[in-house]
Amino acid sequence: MTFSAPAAHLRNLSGVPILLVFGVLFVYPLLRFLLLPLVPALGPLGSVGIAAPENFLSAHAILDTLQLALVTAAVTVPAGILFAFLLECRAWPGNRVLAMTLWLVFVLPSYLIATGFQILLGWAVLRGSLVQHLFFSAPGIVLLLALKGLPFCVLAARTGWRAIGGEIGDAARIHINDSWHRRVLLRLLLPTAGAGFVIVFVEVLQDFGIAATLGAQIHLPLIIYAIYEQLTTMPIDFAAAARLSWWLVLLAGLAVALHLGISLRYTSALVHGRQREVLRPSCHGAEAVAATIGLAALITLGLAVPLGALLAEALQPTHGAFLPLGTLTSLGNSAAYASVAASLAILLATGLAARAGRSGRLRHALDVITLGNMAVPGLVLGAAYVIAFNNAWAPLYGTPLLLVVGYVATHAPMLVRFLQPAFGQLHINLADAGRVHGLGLPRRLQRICVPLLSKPLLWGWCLAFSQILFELPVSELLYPAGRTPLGVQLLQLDQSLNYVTEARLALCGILVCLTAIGVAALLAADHPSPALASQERS
Amino acid sequence: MLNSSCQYRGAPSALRLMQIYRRAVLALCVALLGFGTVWTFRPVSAGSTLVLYTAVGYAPQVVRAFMKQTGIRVTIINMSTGPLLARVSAEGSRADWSLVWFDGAAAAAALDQSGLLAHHTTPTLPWTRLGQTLLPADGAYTPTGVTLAGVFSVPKSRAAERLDWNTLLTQAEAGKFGLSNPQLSGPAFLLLANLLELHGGWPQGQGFLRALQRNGMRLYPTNPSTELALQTRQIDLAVAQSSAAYALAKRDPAFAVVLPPCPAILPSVIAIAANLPPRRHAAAEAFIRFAITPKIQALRQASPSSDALYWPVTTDTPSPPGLPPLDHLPVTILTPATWGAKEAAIGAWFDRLTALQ
Repeated sequence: MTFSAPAAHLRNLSGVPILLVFGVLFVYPLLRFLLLPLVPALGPLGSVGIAAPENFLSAHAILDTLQLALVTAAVTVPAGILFAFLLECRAWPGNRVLAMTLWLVFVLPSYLIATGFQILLGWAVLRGSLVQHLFFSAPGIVLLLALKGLPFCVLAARTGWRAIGGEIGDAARIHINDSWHRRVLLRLLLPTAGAGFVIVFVEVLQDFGIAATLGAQIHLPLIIYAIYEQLTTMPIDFAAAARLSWWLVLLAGLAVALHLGISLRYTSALVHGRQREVLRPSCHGAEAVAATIGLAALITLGLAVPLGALLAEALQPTHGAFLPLGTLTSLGNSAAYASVAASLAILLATGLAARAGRSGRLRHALDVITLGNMAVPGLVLGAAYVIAFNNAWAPLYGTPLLLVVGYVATHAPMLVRFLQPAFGQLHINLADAGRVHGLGLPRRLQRICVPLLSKPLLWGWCLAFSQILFELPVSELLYPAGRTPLGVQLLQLDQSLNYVTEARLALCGILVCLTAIGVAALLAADHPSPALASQERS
Repeated sequence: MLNSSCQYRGAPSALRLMQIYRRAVLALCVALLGFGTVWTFRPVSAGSTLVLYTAVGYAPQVVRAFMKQTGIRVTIINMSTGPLLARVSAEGSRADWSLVWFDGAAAAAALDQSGLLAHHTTPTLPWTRLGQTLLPADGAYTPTGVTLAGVFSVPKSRAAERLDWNTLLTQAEAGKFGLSNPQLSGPAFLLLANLLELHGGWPQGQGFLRALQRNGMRLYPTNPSTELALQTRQIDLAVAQSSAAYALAKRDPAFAVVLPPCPAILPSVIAIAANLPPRRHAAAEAFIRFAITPKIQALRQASPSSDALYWPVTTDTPSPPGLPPLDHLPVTILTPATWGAKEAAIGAWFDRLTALQ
């Protein structure tokens, strides 16, 4: 099929509005914020109060963050590689539970995990103990960050193990007699370990929940929380927050560049013959024992302790209502924000993923944007929005609209990545065949696209909904006065030590998430074939 | 194959029921999404004359009583002091608020210096001598009560001990005392300023704080987290805001309050936004007068919030039971403008000091 020149030109320009949207959502606010130290006039009003000429906290926060990120990544990567090995290379009965546990740890907000531990270690029996002392210090932060980083690390490591495949191991067993010398194969894991290390490193840099709860409590300044302090304590200093944000973005950018460098340097190690599905061996005795211990530790630390502590605290008897109305309203607010923002984000991501499938240049641009988004934490984007949309021509600061836009901007790139494989499976010829047979766009969408994409769209919506429901950094900076979101309310309850209400509210939030996922599962369930149904009836 | 409705024509009724059921669920989801959209974008303060940003715990009771008595609608927005000041600062001259109410005259003075507060709003009332000294010359804010910025919260067993600021330098207290980080907790800055003032001013008083740091001073982000550290025995002595310390002692008899020499006065202040329309400005002034009437002060002191444990600054209202009389207690009154101007420099120095621990 050929197009006339103007039609082809228009077709080429069709990606422009999408890039414009991303320009308004990301490029303009971030540039305006990050350039603030150089051009103070870009700020909203200047600062209230008199800013310090220098801020030593920044240097200390940078060093602390760097140290924590390195230690956490070093601790997490071996565990991540081993769990990924189990999932990819062994037929172990516990694999389903392991995958489910990792998924739940990924979804559970970091500040709730921290709160669960804080509740447990506040119990009388543990007061003054070594465990309590260790938790309320740097090792406690490393433990929590490692737990939150583990699912990302396992995800990266699984890709590596999958790429290596079983054939290289088989070949090594045939050609290298000595099992000790077969350790040379471990070099193939270097890119995987590098990817896992970088992902955990970046996650640690960007995690606001743990920095705002345990980090703040033990006076361990971290960059992400130092930025928040600059924006929420007197004197308010946007320029200092921007300087710190530069550090965060640069460190994350360096880590991603290092990862790309390692991948490029060792890519040749991953290229081998066509990969076939191989039968995964089951775990032998020692492996099974180690795997069971590892899984038990993960379940205990990642789920049982935080959720058990929250449940136990929620069941404490109290006077008055089960939940004060004000706190319950925050759950309603966040459920409304999350449903609207998740729907808009999935619409935007669908449009982007669909366009990316058709245009190579747009796909590359999207890759850059989504990777760039990885280097920019939500808190920095939130701070950028405070400045960018707080003026005469865009007076959006303090409105629900800006908060929803912030949620969409922080979650749409993740959803684009999530949907791209599904769109990759949707061959363009299907739609073309429908068009040739006279089906209009609505019918093509209804009969071809929706049935094939409904599941990823529903699960993508659920993922965005559950993350936005508990979202903290963007909410902290952008929520409209009087419309407190759930995350902000939970953090306020945590800082005022009202653990009972916090635990009850958190569990109600988790129930809302589970209900949404249940409804999605119901809608996504496969239709039983009518023929099969009649067979069963007969 | 493409036509799924054809697929079900003549199919078992259970499948048709399933299809109807799923469509009903889908319709319900769409309805919920519509409701969520309306809920999200509903106006916050439509129809309200006043919008109150507050960080004091008893404000909701006061607002309810005010609306009941005057019929003036007030939207109340609760935040902790830091986010409240950040929001007021970011909103700037496009303020959504009419009134702000929080602890700390220094922050109010900073907002005033930025031109965000209306002047000459302080009502004429029977102020106590202390209340008189807290009134700003330009009437930009009104004190509504005072607490003490730093008192000692200790286990009951230590209640009879003679404790003063130098106690914190002793070997017995090494690493066992803590306070809220002045960079994170607004009220704690006044404690820091007071310690400097009592030991020679700024920068002469740095030596005392260096000595505290050498003796293992521990810092926490808020009063509650300092309290948690005390309850979990990480520390034996917490230097806290008096309202929080007395509330802990009231709630948990295992703890008591000891007053150190010359604690700093920390006023709660209420202020009106600059450039409000006359009708709203008048309503805001009426609210301030209402909040300091004896009847409403009694209501504030009966609130379950720890902020209720404050000393009144008008002669027509008694102190709440359990608080010692403030009249003859030697206290420090720090000048808001002077110490507010030094806050950033002191904060940066203090961070450098404590970061090296």
